[in-house]
Amino acid sequence: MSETHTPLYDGTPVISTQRLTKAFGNLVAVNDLNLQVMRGDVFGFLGPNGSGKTTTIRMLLGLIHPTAGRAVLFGMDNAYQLPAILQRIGAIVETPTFYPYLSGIDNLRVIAANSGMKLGGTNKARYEEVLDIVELQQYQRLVYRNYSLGMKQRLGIAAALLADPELVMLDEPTNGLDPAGVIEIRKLIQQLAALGKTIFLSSHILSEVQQVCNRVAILRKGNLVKQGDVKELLREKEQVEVRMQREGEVQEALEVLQRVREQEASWINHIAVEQNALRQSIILVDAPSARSADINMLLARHNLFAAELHPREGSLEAVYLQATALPHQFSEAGHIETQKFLNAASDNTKGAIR
Amino acid sequence: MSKVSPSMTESLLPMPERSKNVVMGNQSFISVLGRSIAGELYKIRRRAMSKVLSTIAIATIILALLFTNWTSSQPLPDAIYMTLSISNFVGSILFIILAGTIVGGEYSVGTIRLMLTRGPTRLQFLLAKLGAMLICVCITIISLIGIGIITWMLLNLPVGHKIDFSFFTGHWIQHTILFILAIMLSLFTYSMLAVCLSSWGKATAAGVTGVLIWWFLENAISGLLALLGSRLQNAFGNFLATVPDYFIDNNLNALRSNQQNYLMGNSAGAINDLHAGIVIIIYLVVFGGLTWWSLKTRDITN
Repeated sequence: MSETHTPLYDGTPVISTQRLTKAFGNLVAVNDLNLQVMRGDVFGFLGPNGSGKTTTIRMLLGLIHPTAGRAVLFGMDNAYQLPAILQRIGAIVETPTFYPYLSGIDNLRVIAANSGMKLGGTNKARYEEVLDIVELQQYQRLVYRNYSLGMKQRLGIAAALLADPELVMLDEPTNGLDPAGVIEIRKLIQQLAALGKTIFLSSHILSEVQQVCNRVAILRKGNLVKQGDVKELLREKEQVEVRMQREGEVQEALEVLQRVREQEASWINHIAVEQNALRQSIILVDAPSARSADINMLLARHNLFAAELHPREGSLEAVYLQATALPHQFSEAGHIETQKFLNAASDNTKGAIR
Repeated sequence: MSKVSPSMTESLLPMPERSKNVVMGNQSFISVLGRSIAGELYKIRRRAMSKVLSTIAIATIILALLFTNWTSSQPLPDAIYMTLSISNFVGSILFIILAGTIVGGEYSVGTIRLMLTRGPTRLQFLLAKLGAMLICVCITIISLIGIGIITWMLLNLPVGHKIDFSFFTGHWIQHTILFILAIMLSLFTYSMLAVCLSSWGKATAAGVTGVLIWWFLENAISGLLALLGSRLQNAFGNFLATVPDYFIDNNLNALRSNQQNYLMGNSAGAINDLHAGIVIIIYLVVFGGLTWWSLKTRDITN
């Protein structure tokens, strides 16, 4: 989160949806969505494929009609004041598509004509400016059909920025970009945010979202399952790694922590055990890093002493995986759930007694 | 912005200033529409297809005049009538292709998504297409007449033929203008049908093949109904025989034939101008309405 920007908040909602719903026949693509994006937000819109992200963006942009609910942008209902709303938005919806027989700059001219901008050479400086931002200046005369995927994506961003909109909606803007291109887009988003633009970013690249967004919403099967401040969400996913002085103390420490969790320490969310590269058992306590000292004290009260205590930062990936109910990464990374570990340890003890 | 929004109770966010490099135009309905039409014309102008279609039309006119002039020299008015007749036939096919492409292409390429998220309403989007088509029809016919006249002059003046201006009367000008307008209306009507069908079918092919099928069916059904009418020879037969009077092609033919009657002495159409005009206007309203309705209610999901 080192590069997280400071949003130019003023607490005013730029996007506000109220029970927004879209059904295609029996399939409910978006269900009762209540979304709030504030002015100056860099808002990450996350969810697996088919979760309803693009459908939501399309409803916000008036491309599809909601089955129920409404969307208010800049204080205007998009069912009634769409043209006025669209004049304030620059958007990429899915893969950008342009006229294949026109060059990059000719496509921008056509878009400018449809964006309320003056015709002729009046906006020449602006075309040059946006092409410069996305580094397509030298390819501006090249016919669009000859553009690479990355160039098409960059032209999409140029088109979105053309009329200097206050809200920029980017649906998977880094699709098809190489790592350098991804970094460029990240920098661009940060620059736009610094200028006070509100960014609505739909992306699958969680690390990117974590780096640039200050707020996120997570969709699953059309339902909003999480919405909030990225820092707050990450705080919920902070962990404390505990390595005991002796391997034999791990089971005892686990039992103590489980007991304390059930009785008094409600700030402990979850306890698990994993093995590190040296095949040492590490206890992972889902708790704020500020509680490291408390964990140490709890163990010490039972004559158990940690050799190491490390706070582990939360990741958006963990938040996302939990929210979207995908198999938790811990299971895949060789982690052993606490109960399984305790059971296994108990079996070993029984075996030893026998 | 015509309706009062329930969101008026919510606080409207003031719009911050744009970059000084962004020069916005007037945002009235007509100005936005005007710029959209300009955008459409720009796209048409830059298409290779438009250039190919124009070349085909020009080449056909020149070749036809070359051929007729080679067999026997014809006076200038006849060259103009021939140019107009060829323009009507070739233009119909070319404009069906063009109209189908400029609407269907938006769906098949996916640029409709881009266009409908920039600000103009769906009505303005449709009117821009139709406006651009109308302007193209007018420019094409006027240009082809010019090319016809220039070709005739190049073929006749160097070999000593003179232009006899005795035809150039008020009566001739009036009926020539009406003939030109009838041809423009004819091209625009078929373009409108292509726009309607390609919009419904979300594809260029739907517009182009749809109009050709329509054309073929109208002619086939006209013949069939006329035959049935003459065979039955009763009230129902008479009714069947009059049904083709409400077909597009017959009415457009009548509008042209009625002017050709004045200009060339050809036999007048069986349908009078008022009837034909009303029928065509109704078709245009229906095609326009259907296109508008499909565009307004449709979810853009491609």
